Amino acid sequence: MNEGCIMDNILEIKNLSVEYRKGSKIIPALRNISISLKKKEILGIVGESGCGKSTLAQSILRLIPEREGKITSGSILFREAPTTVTDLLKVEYDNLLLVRGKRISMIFQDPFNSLNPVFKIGDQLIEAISIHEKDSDNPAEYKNEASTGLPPNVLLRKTKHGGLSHPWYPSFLRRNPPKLYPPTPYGLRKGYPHSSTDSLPWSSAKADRIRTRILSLLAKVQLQKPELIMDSYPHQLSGGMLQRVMIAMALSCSPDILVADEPTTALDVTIQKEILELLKKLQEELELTIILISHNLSIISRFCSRVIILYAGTIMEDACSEDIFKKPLNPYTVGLLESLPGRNYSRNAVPVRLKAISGQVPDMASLPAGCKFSPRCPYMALACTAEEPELLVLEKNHLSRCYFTDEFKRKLACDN
Amino acid sequence: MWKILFKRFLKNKLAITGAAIIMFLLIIAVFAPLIAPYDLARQEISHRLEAPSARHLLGTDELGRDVFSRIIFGTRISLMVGFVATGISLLIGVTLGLVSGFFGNRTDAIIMRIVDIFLCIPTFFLILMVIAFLKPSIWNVMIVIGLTSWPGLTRMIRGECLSIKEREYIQAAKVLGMSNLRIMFVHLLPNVIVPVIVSATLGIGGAILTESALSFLGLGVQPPSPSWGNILTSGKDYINIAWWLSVYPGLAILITVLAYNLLGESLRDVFDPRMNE
Amino acid sequence: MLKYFAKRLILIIPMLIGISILTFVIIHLAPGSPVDMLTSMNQNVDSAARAKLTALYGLDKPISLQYLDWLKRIVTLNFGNSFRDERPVIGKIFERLPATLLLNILSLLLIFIIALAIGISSATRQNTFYDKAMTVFVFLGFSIPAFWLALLMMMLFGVNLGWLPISGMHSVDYYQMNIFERLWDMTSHLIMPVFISAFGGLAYLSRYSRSSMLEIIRQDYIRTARAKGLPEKTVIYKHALRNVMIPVVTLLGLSLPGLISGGVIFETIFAWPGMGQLAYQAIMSRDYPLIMGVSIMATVLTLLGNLIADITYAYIDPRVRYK
Repeated sequence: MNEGCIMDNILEIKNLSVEYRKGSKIIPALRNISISLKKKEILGIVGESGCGKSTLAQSILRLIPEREGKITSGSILFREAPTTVTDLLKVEYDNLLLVRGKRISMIFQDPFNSLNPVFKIGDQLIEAISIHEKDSDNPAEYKNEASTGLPPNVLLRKTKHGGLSHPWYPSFLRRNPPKLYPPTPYGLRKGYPHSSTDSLPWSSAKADRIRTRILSLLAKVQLQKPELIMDSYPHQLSGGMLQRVMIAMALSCSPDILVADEPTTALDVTIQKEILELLKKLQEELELTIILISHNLSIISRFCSRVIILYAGTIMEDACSEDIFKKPLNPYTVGLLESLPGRNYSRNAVPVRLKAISGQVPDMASLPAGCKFSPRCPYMALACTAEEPELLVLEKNHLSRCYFTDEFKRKLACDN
Repeated sequence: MWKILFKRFLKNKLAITGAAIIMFLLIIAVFAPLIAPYDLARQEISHRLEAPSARHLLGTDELGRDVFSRIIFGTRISLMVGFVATGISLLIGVTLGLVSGFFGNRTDAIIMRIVDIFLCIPTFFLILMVIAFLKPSIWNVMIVIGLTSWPGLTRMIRGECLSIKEREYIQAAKVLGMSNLRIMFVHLLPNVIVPVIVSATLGIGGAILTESALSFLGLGVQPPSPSWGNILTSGKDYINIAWWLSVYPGLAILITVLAYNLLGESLRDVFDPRMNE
Repeated sequence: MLKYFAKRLILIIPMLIGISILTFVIIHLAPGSPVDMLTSMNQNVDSAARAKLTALYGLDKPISLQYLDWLKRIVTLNFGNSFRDERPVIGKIFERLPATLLLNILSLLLIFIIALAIGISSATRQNTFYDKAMTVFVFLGFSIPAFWLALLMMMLFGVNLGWLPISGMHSVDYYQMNIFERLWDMTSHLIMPVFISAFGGLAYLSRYSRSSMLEIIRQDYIRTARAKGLPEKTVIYKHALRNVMIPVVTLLGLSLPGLISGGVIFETIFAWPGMGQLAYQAIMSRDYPLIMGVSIMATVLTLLGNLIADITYAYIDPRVRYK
């Protein structure tokens, strides 16, 4: 485990293992992953396709459906208040719902498909906020608006009506029908209650408050004409705009942690840059902790303070960003860096040829014995195929999983 | 490739059940005269409307004919109608579908308009209209059912064709100078054959249902030829006193159509790459 | 939205023309001319009378003119007079229309609700016993000849148990009943026909809605909804449901012709006084104007139904409305 003050760690993943079931086969996706996340850190998780990055991201909030994947072991400890730590994997589902969106939120890879095509953007944003609203007219405690330390254990508690915090049946069938105005489907009209914890219709104050908040969120993610956007449907917006909306939605309840699962992979390169810069700006402003997942090393290098390299479901290297790029201590990392075009990380002035890591990502159903990278490792020795190396703590806060064969040591020496 | 499919077919329990039942029915149909205890038109007026007994396994109808024998002979008619009608609709449907999908543009537009019009008219009414103007007989029934079920096939095949048409090997064949006819039948057809087989199988079931409905209404096979549908007509008339006339023929229809449906649906699973296990 | 609606309306016109051509062709398929049909019962008609009839029906004009005449008559809904009782066909049809509409609309609603319910509940419980049981049920539904089921139910509920009446729309003493008894009477007469009519359509639609639902549950936006912290019930009944309804409504529109055709059989069996029964009687008595009239009306109804389905579809799915 990383050193550093334990009190700083807002999230600790310990020995997480996840399996997928396909028919009768069991395929391991993550094997004994341990990560600590400090407050206000930007963590980057890098890996090739199929190494388990998305699985990791989705496991934090238990978003993997039961019939597809199972979390077989481990714990995810979330520090929800300075003195309270909860294991997200053991928490009851109803309480998990209170964490999702409100304390930890997530944005996904494909913005076109991530928003429900039949509802307006505005309605979906309203939904995101109103789920986590408390009763009627109390102003919600948004982080940068006058919030002080909250008493512990007040945040995780069961919702009043056994988890049903949104009426799915038409309001005229509800026991406490709106008294003032006729129900309107999903519109932010005054008087329409959105949460069954409200038994009274929304006052205009509340409706206005939510509306203002949404407009300010949309402005914060640099969207022009937020009123127009609120009234549009997802198919009317471009990819970049949609991803900004997703970010706005994720930040609507001022979460502590934002998990971004390849947020820019599906976008144009120019838009990618904008979105990332936006994320950086928001992170500074709102004091967010971000987990950024990508397969693109250059993005990670520009953006993250700490980097974890994932391969075949295990952590290969875990270090701060500078160390990873200037002094990598794992053959896989070395290979990844060497395959970056135009990136001459060695001190030699002679530009290196474009190199690729030979071989292919192993099939997770039949992993080789010993170090999983050994079939492709240019510095492999016989010892590597016997047993898998442990994750060693090398320098301060720099971990690597390797046996450090003589050849590799020679390579490292000559690079420095 | 066919070997793999066959293996999967054998593994699929539903498919085997369906196929087995159909085999069984085919055997009954072919060997009908040998199996049926009584001649199908033999009337024993003194024994009319008898309940099922040792002598008459499934009872007798209002003219004293043995229901069991009639049902067995009815198998012949139902299966024949199923095959012929579906055959006709396959012939027309597949050809038009291939033509429409392959040529595109105006030919396609025209054919699809015609298909739309046909699909708009309730099938049954179309059949009723045609049969009203012709005499009801088994051949007319078969032809008419065939003539009214091709639009669905055409639409489906055309859809598949449109998606395959742009693939490289079709373009290559064109460049090589293959005649259009050859391209259509040699290249396109094998690729669209899968949904066609599934549809055809389900179509046989549908044709049998339609034929029995028509016979029930008196517009299909006429007595004394036994069709499961027209035995049910007498069932309706004597509903209070002869329950066996209503139950057994319907059961026969049910089993037959069920078999075809099972086969068709499971064929669909066998052919498609498995998605959700 | 209005543009969409208008476009759909305009598209109907070529359809109607096509249908009129088709039906015209069918009429002229019949061996012999319509005059022969009219006079087939009467041996004593001589050639002069025949000539007059021919002129009357315009059968001596060239075929294209005959077609135009036919088209003109259809558009004004003039189908001529019924052979049996010389009353205008259109009048007879309109008499029967409300009953048929009642039956079919109720069936449609029933199918819609039940098929959605079965589809959604099966998909959320994929591969469990419930799912497999529903699949079996649905298969049976495909394969059962509906009229046989009708007979069985009539036997069971009508004759043996005597719970439900087996024919007609009202009981004999309908007009002596008060409003509540009337309502119950009507309902009890409706139960069997509506149920049987819905049964066939249910099977296919349930299966389809199940597979749609399975696909939708795997979509990204459902995952986003869960990530927002929505309880599972809301995710399914608010986000997923609305998306499943889209293909289901489309398919419902497409199954309309089947429903109306089914009416012929059910209305005959249950002696329900609707268009289907009229059609059956017309065929039995070779009443050609009536047959044509009923068929065309049925088609028009189908077209209308499809239009309504399209509009509903546009209402549910905004992607269709805006571009």
